[in-house]
Amino acid sequence: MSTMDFFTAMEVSASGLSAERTRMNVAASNLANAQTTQAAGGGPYKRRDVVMQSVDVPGVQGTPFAQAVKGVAVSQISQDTAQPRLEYDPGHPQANAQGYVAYPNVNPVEEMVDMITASRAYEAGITTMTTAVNMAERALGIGR
Amino acid sequence: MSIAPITPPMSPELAGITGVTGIERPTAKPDLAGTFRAALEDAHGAEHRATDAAEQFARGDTGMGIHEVVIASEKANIAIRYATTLKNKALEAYRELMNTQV
Amino acid sequence: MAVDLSTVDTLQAALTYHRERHAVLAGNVANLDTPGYRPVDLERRNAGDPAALAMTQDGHVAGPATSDFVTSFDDGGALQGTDGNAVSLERELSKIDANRARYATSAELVSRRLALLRYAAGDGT
Repeated sequence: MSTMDFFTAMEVSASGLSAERTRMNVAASNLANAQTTQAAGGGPYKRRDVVMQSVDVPGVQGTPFAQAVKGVAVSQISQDTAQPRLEYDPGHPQANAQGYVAYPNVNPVEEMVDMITASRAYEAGITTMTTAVNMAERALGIGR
Repeated sequence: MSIAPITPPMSPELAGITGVTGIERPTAKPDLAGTFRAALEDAHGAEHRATDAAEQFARGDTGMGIHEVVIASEKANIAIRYATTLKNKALEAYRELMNTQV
Repeated sequence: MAVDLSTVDTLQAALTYHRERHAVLAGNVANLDTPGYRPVDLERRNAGDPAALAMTQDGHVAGPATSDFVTSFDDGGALQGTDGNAVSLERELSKIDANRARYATSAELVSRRLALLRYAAGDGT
């Protein structure tokens, strides 16, 4: 067969865990900076987003079957280019000439949902990896 | 395991009679030595395969997984046991024979 | 071989299939949030076909040929969102668990078969 025992499956699962953890970190960062009007580089904090992509897993040789086994990776963490949210607050130190303050384009509800789905996906990855370990242990027990 | 057909004994007197269709002697005789030799070869082969499998697994070769190497090891185990059992049986039979009072 | 191990070979082929299938299904779970990803599954060519089964039992089959496995793109299930991803987590997890159970059962059957053969080879000891 063209995969390296259970280790291929475990690498696949590990890549998923890694990607989902990145997603969680990004959502957490967005939430933490939801009110940051002065980010590094000037201007309000820009919401970040992860872009996920299927990747080939090492140890799987180039057979038609191999095409079916795919891991995942975060191909980039992009910055959201949507317009910042403007709030009328002329007394605010960062208010512009018109009296508006620019707040990050972060929707806390959306970020929470992202965190929850990332968490769910992470747990599913753990379950899947545990299953692989479980199967390997059963194999080891053959003949005992 | 193959069991050879039973051939009736041909007494010398009958052998000379022509016109009688002879009963063919089978080429394969029930033969403990032959069976033992085959079992020994199997055991050797299985043991080599098990050792190779273990080395491949240790190297991390693709295609040699846990269940493959464990099963190869168990097969060798069984083959060796079988050969040993035959050896013991043959030895036992020999000893009994040697102890027979004539 | 003096001792009949053909059943063990068939079971070993099953074990290999279930292991490889786990890798494929794990990929579906990993790509739960990948835009445009459609879930994949692994099928056995001629699974359950008695003629094919007879062929594999004949001779020394150390493992199945790669061509014995066919991948299938699983269209089952609607799109799960707006990004073209079609993975249903529940479906994948339940497939993974069923696959695990079959692997465990095959492993158990191999063990029992080997124990029987060991008994026969060792003349009861």
